Amino acid sequence: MSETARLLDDVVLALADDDRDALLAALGDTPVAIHDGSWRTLTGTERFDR
Amino acid sequence: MFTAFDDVSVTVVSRMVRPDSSLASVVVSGRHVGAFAEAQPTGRPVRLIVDAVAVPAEEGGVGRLELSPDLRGLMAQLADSGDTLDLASAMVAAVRENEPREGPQWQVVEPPPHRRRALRGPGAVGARLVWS
Repeated sequence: MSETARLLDDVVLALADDDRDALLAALGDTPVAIHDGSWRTLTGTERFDR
Repeated sequence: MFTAFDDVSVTVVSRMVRPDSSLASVVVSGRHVGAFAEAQPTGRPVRLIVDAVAVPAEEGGVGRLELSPDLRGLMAQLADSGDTLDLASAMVAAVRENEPREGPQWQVVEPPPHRRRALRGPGAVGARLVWS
């Protein structure tokens, strides 16, 4: 399994478990880009504290 | 989603793994029990569709995770009482506050009065957001 596919699986599992710590662990340092009209990239705890 | 929604379940509805990226379309279901954006808790069951793409880095590993949530669809569900116009406006205001910028922006387009009346009630979506 590719690393990209593994990341998606881990993120989905963390969300399914409603487990914030697991989500943090799955993402590691990976930036998260959200599209809400335009792309903006979130890093660190900014990815969750919204 | 860890505080605004309860009874959360996640369903992967499609998945694709390619050499250059991996994609998943996910439906997140839950109950709205906490403030989200500027929408106060409604207790309503909601569903959020999210397209997720994991993009590899040039040096290997994962470069970034791209999420495209259907926030407009979510806000329409939260506004089930017919408050779509107010909620849509609040959502636009929140986005502008977080990211003030020049040029094109999301605008709330209100329907004409006769159509707005017809759109009241469960499931109603009274406003449109356009990028202009």
